[in-house]
Order: sequence, then structure tokens, then C-alpha cells
Amino acid sequence: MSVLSMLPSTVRLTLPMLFGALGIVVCAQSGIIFMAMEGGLLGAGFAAAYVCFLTGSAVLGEAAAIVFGLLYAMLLSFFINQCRGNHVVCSIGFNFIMLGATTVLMQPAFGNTGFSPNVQKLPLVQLPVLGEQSINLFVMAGAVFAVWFLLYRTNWGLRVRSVGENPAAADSLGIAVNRYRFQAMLVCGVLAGIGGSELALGQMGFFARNMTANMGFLSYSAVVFAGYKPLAVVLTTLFLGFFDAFQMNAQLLVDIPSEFLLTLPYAVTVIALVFFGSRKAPAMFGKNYTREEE
Amino acid sequence: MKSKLSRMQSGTLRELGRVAFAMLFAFAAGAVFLMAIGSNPLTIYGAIFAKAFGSFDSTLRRATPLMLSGLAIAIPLQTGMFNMGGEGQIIAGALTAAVVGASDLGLPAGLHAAAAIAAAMAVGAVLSGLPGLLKITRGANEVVTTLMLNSIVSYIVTWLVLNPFKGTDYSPQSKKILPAAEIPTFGKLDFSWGLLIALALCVLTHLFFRSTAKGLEMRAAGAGPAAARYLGINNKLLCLLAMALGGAVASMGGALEVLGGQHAYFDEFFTNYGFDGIAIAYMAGSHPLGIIVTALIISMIRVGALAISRTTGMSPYFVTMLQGLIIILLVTPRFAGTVLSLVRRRFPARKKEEGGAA
Amino acid sequence: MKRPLSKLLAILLSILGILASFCACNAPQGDANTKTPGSSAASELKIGLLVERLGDNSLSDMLCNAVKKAQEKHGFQLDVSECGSGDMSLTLQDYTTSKEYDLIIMLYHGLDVAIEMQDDYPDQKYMVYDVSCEGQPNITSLSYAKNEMGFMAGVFAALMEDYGAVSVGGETKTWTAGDKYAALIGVNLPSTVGAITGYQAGIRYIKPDADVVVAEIGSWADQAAAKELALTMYNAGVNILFHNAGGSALGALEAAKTLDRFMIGFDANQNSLDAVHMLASSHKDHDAVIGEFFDGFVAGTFRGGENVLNSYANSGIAFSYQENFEVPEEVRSVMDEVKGKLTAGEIVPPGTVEELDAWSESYS
Repeated sequence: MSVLSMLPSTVRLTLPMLFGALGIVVCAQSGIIFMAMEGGLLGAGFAAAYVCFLTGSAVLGEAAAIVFGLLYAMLLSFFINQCRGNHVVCSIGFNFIMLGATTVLMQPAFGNTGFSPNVQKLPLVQLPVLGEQSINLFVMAGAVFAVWFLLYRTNWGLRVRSVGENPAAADSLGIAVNRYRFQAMLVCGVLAGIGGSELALGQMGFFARNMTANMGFLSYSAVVFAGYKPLAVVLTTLFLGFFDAFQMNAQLLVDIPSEFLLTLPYAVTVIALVFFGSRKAPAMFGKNYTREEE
Repeated sequence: MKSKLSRMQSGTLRELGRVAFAMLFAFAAGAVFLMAIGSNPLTIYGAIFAKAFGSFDSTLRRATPLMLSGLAIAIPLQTGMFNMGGEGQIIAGALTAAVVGASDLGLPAGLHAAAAIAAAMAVGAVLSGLPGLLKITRGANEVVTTLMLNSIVSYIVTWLVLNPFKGTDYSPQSKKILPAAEIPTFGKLDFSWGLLIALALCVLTHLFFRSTAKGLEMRAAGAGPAAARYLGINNKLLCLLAMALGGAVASMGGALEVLGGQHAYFDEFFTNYGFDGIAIAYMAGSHPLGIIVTALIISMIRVGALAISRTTGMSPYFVTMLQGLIIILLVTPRFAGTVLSLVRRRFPARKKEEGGAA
Repeated sequence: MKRPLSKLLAILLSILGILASFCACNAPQGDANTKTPGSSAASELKIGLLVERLGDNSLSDMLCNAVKKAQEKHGFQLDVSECGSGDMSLTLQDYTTSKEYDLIIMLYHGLDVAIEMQDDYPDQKYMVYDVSCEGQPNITSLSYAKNEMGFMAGVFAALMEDYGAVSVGGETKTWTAGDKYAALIGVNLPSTVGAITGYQAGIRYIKPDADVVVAEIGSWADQAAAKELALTMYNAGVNILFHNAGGSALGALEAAKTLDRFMIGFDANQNSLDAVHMLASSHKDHDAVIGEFFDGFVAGTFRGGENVLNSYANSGIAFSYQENFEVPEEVRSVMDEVKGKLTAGEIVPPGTVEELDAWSESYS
């Protein structure tokens, strides 16, 4: 059991998480706490599986998931930006809604309350070191670059980040704070859509009830751990994914009860946070912005 | 000139309007969803409320740990700390109480239960105190550490209940507690004296934060960076104390349910109680007395959910969805106003009075 | 503190308002129950069924399908609810206190609650499935000899591994006989382990020095994890994989398809899931056992306090080969011989880890 042999599993397990984490990073830079990734991935996965089930095309499924992600982000943005809702609680509410909705819809959509029928998976590629991976791997590489570029090399990114750091100053310069936050959330929605589609169509080829199983929260942790930076987040999600793969292999080699091994990714995150814990979040992280005149 | 009373009345009416609008909207949105999938909203809502009120004792029983779960968020929140570890703290407290309750300590009734609760609270204080400590010494984000601890604790508790503390051979549960450790129920009713303990704790918390020196210090510590700097090291210790209290309270919730209801620890019983607690705390604006009300609301719909699959064939997860809707709508203060202003913008021809919903 | 309080007052009033309107619209369900179980026509019987999780082709599905088949035959009314162990006590309470049900069927996670409810509701009959419960006056149970099921699967796996070739669906795959065997468990409960200790014993019956790796997935529904674990096992040289993993097993099957290896199904006849990679299944005959139970119940028989153990002795379990799988003669003959011994009670496979150790002693 070498690190190299665990690489394929690591990448597979990491991929959906990374899309989610990238989305959270974009939101975080604009000052939005996007803890609703769990619901976003779940709903996007459902949409992807359902459309693929109806049409037989996995690519259409991924497109549907992206559309879902956009709608999801728009709705969350309405509650957070327009209605001045608390980011964390609204996110939790959305997670509940998606968990409930996708489970209730299982029966009408797929005729089965636990699993959807097997649907067409996304195209797979055989890579030299990484083994069999979904085509989204390339999408992911592009996404990481795109997010980094958008945030740090464009005017748009500059404004988004300024909104996250000091919205009052940005506002006085004529930057529409809530509009940029909305746009950041839209980007996050697209990424959530791809992540959900990868989970359902890229890996398994079906949708299962509650199939995200805490992945949304893990991606949030990866973002915090990475100091809210897009490039660092690739490393932290790989780190988490690696430990997930590691614990599976470890089960076969050592006699430690599996429950203890299952805690590895989480325990390691905590330990790492102890050492790298004080990364600063954008100043307005989690706060709603209200113009003084209102 | 408006008197204080009439100002309060118009404030209350406005709140009432806002809240009623939000609740109705939530139920209406749920009804639309139901109709879209071909179900009858009236039957389903009727079943939920019939069960929630028909078995109000079960509702009260469930509200007991939920109230404490809400306090577990609200207490640390006063100092600006976020305790998202309720899930783990509750189950750790529940298992601790079950194990202490099942051990032959030779204590009489009452004392045995108290010992079990105390043990549970100690465990909970450690579970939330540790992330608190890491935050104040190393700056480790306590949201993440508490969330991670949820999973860690969950796995460890599962192992414990399947191995050293195994109760039966066929299901993941601990041994039954000794009768001396039980918290008595009210006759045939489903809830126990634990409910009163939880209610008392909410009242005590309210008084603590409003009237005691320590409580006011804590609120100051959470008030803002200037206050924090002024108070220095004391501020950090207060935060730690608040976190520890939060965890202790959550674990007590688990303990009360085990000692007063289940009489053993059943794995997976407390799923989502922690997250419900977050919603409960925020919906009540972190007000300890308000938490009593919001815990009851969540408990009502959760208990109602159990009946709908039997009587209507609808999945109980519909209630999860409804709960999400209610949570969102009740913590967005400007929801009613925003919707109405959007409506107004769409239909400008409609004449609306000045000074309508803000 | 006026704003928060008035807000809460508002919430309370709205809830009451909504409640009033809905309660008025909906008359409560549930009729007065004057039926005497067993003495009325089958169609007047009302059965309640509490399963754990539908849709993943495992125990809950099997039970539900079997009961529905019995329903088609006898025409009784049936209410089905899915509930995890968390909601079990309240859901079972809901069913029991409604007094509508002549019989409530449940899986293992309802047993303790049912035992408690007996004091307050002595007339309510319960049936627990897949777990043994004896001595409770109004609870009957149907259980299965999982150790025997595992044993047959183990013997099969060892024989096939040695044989070194599989011909199924017109294609043949060969390998050099190794000695690596593995099994996956969903959750490490004592009742789960019985199947696996039987498996290990079955392998050692043929090959006393074999090495069997057992891994726990941690959940009955985590297919992604199952897939990764299975991939690791296959990559380590295992050719045939066994499981007691419920819904997670589908993930292992994915791994089998990816690497072109094989699996033995468990619990239900899983041969239909994949015509090539699922070589055989060691399964319970849910339909027959439930069918027989209901034939009796409708006629008025209820064995309260007793457990019916289904094993090879009464044909409650079976080992089925995949269609179009050419079972080698030498394999089939040993399998039939072992089955005969199990039926006659000559072999009693171990059901716990301690028994397994004792068993291994006698074979080394």
C-alpha cells in the first residue's frame, strides 16, 4: 500500500468535494458564508440523475445540475442579500429543504425511495498514474484556474474581494455590494452543480438518498483550513480525500476497529487546524451589508 | 404622542404580521410542493398537527433535549463563539448517562440519576471546551473543529456501543439503566421530570444572562472587538467558559432523554438534534425563554412527521423540508417587507398606504 | 427584551391559528377497533409493517415485497412505514396506540420497544423478522441460520478459487488459485457477524490455512465506500467477494464490474443484479417463509413467545447459482454434500468469533 496506489481513490473521493470547496471560496471572498453546499450538492446530484434518467444523456444531466445550482444560489442569495438573513441559519435551512425535497421526490421521480435506477455515467478516462477518472477531472482543473484567475486577475474579482473586506468603502466607490455578492453566489452555484453531477453521474451512476453524507460540511472545513484561498483549497481537499482513502486501505491491514479509522479525516483536520488555525477570513465574512440610508 | 404601551402594541402587531406572513408562506410553499407531486396538503398538514397535538406528551418529551440543544448554541453565542458540535455532545452525554445509569453504584434513586447527569455534563463540557480552548489559544476556527468533532464523537460512540458498552446482540444499543437511575415520568404520559429540568434551565439561563455579573460580562465579551480588547485575558476565559457550558447543556439534553425516556442509549436516535438546536436558537433570537417556544415548534413538526407515513403514505422527510422553510423564513426579518415591496414594484398601479410593512 | 418576546408571542399565535384551521379540515384517522384477530375474514385484518430503509435491495425490501405478496394472496390491509432506529420508538408507539393493527411486523430495531409496550398494550401482537425473540407472550419471531448461509458461501468460494475458472454467460475467466478471501460487512453487529464467521468456517472447511480479510464499511447504505473497499480487496488478489452489507453491497458490485471479478450475494437472491459478476447468492427464502407465516396467521395461528428458525433443515434458506453459470461437477458435488450435512445437523457452523476460533482449532 503506497501513497501512489491510493492516488486514484483519493482523486475520486476528492473531486466532488473540491467543486464544492471552490464555490465556497468564491462566496467567502465576497463575505458570504455558504454552508448550504450540502444541500446544493444533493439537489444538483438529484437533478443530474433525474435528467439523465429521462434523456439517457449524462452531459444533459450535468447541464441540468448546473442550472439547478444557479437557481439554488439565486434563491439563497435572495434570502441572504435581499432579506438580510443570517448566513449560517439560512444555509442550514436550505440544507434541510434539499434533504427533504430530494428524499420525498425519490418515489415520484424514480419509483424507488432509496436509489434511483442506474443511469448513464459521465465519460471516463484512463490516466497513467491516476487510474480511471471521470471527465470532470479536466473540468476541475479548468475550474481551479478559472476561479483563481477570476478572483485575482480580473476587475470583477477585485471588486468581489473588496466587498468582502470593506463593503462600506466599496459602496462609496460606487460598487453595488449586494450585486457582487449575488454574482459570487452564482459562480458558487455553477460549481455546486458540477460537483453534484460528478457525485451522482461521475462516480456512481445513480442517485441515492442523502448520498452526500457530510461532504458539504467537509468541503467547508477544507476551505477554512485553506485560509479561503482557491489554490490552497486544492491541497486541503486532497488531504481530506487522501485520509478517506487511507482509512479504507488501513482497515485491510491493521486490526484497529474501523470506526476509529473512519474518524481519521476529521481528526486530522482538527489537528491541522491547531497548527494552521489562525487564517484570517475576509473581514465581512458572515455579515450582511445594509446601506446606512435605509 | 404615542405612549410606551401603544408603541409596544404597534411593535407587537407588526411582528405578528411579519411572523404570520412568514409562517403562512412556509406552509403555502410546502402545500404547493405537495400539490405538485400529487398529494393533498390538507390531509398531510392535518395528520402532522393531529399527531403533534394528539400526542402532545410525546411532543413535550422530544422538546426536552431540543430546548437544551438550543441553549447549547445560545450560551456560547453570547460571547461570540459558535458551538456547532451539538450533535456530538448530545450523543456523548446520552451514552455517558446510559453507562453510568447502568452501573451498580449503590446510589439511591435520584442520586443515581443526578450522578449520571453530572457525568454527562462533564463529558459535554470537555467536548465543547476543547474546541473553545483551541480557538482562544491557537485561533482554530471553532465552527470547523466542533463540526469535525461531531463526526469523530459519532464514530467513537458507535464503537463504544457495539463493543464495551454493548447491550444486546442484535441492535446497536447499550444496556438498560437500573431503575434507580430512571427519571420518573408523569404517570402514563410520555414525558418525564426531565422536561421540568430543561424548562428550569432555560429560565435560569435567561436570568443568568440578564442579571448576574458573570452573565453580563459574557455578553460584553461578545459585544464587539473594542469590548474584547478592553477585557483582555478575562475575555478569553469567559469565551471558554461559555463554550464549556454550551457543551454541558447539550449533553444534559441527551442524558435527560436516556434517563427519562429510552432508558438505554440507542445509536442514531439523536440524529439532527444538534442542527435542530442551531435553528431553534436562531429562530428565538438566542433568547432563552424564546428557545422554549421554538423548541416546541420544531418538536411538534418532528413528532407530527412520524405519523404521516402511516396515515398518508407521504415520506416523513417532507417535514424536514417544511422545517427548513420555517427556519429560513423566521430568521429573515425583512422577508415580508421585501416580498411586499417587490409586489409593489411589479404592480405600481396598486395604491398602498404609506408606512405599511417596512 | 420586548421585541423578541412579542415575536415569539406572534409565532405561538400563528401556530395555533394554523393548527385550528387544519384540524378543523381534517377528521382524525383511525376507526374504533372491534376486530378479534384471527377470527375475522382475512380482508378485515390490518397489518402494520415497519422497515428500515427501502430501495436498496436488502432486507427491508425483501420483507416488504414478501408481505405484499402475502397481501395479494389474502387481501389484508397493509400500512408500511420506513423508519430508522432513531424514530423507531415513537413510530412503533404511534402504530400501537392507534389500536388499528392486528399485527405489527418489524425488524430488529423495534424489538426492545415492542417488549416495553407489551405491559401497556397486552393485546397487541408483534412479529420480529430476522432476529430471534423468545419468551415474550405476544411476540413471535422468524429468524434465519446465517451461520449456515455463510458456510455454504465459504465452501463455494474456496472450491471455486481452487478450481481457477469461471464460465458464465458464455465467457470464461481463469486465474491461478490463490488463497486470498475477503468479505464486507455493513455494520459490525453481533447478528451481522454470524454470516461472516460462517463464511470463514466454510473456507477453512476446504482450505484450513486460508486467509480471510473482513472489512467493515460502517454503514448499510454507503455504496461509494463499499466500492473503494472492494476495489482494494480485488486489487490485493481476491477473486470472489462475499458480503453482509445490505444496501452498500451494490457499490461492491460496481467494483466487481470494473475489475471483472466476482461476488456472492447475500440475504436476497441477488443474481438478477448482474448476470456475469454475481456468481451465486446465499439467500433467505423470504417469500416462502413470510407466505407460510401469513397462511398460519390468517387461519388464526400465532406462535407468541416462540421463534421459528429457518435453516437448511426446513428449506428456509437456499444457495442459488447464477443462470448460465456452468457449475463445475466437482464443485457441485461437494456443495450438495455439505448441504446435506447442514440439513442433517452434522455440521453446525460457528456463529460468533469465539466459536470460530474453536472451530479453527479443530481444523488446523
